[in-house]
Amino acid sequence: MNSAKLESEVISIICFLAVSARELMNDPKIYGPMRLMETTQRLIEMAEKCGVRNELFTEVAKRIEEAPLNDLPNSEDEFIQFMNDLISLLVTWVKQS
Amino acid sequence: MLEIIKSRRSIRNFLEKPVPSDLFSSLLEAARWAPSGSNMQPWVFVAVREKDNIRKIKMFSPGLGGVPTALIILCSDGAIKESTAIMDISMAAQNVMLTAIDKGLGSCCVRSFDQKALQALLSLPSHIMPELIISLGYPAKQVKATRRRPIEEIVHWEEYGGRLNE
Repeated sequence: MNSAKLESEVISIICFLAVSARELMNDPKIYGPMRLMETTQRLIEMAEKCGVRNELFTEVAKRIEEAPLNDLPNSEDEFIQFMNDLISLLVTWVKQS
Repeated sequence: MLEIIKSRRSIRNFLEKPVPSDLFSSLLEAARWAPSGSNMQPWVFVAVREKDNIRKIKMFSPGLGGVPTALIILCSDGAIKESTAIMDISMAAQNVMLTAIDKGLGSCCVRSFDQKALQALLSLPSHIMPELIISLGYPAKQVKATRRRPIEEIVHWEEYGGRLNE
């Protein structure tokens, strides 16, 4: 990814975060975790486009893709479990690195 | 009709395949024919298909998932003072989404966006306020049915707490 493309991606994420921060003042509480998970996904995509790849990124992206988002807030317990499992994966990876 | 209503899902993954013009027009026609209090029709619809415009709108719409190939932005028209404007627009949105299913399209109704930012992006005058975005496109994957509250829990016969005696 060239610097112009990277700049465009970063601006896009900044906009996403700024508008999310504003909208979350009124949005349902569950939207907060959803927005942060999407940002995580976008950061991984951006890193991969920049040629930064590792197994952790692939696994995190895969898990977010399969996350029980569709039936929120009914599936809130499953979503909490998904986030706990994701953090557990990250801790394990950080500890071993 | 009930089957179409029941099969509607919020689609956030779309194929790159564009929405054909005639089909897109039929969605706008469906919006135009929605019920409206006193037939005031206090609405304006902005149809967006250009990739770059969709990208820019998406930047200010955190609730807009995936990369849709078309958008309809449903706006209230402040020049037509009508207290039912939001309800009218909501009914127009439902018309669009049900017609979309009938045409093999997926959709998602989005309210998480910055209204002022969209006003600026779409060059809307100050009295035209974006209220809802409907993202549209061909679904990239199936979405499973969501849970619904049982009818006994939400329907009351004749008065609150009343049960159906059969």
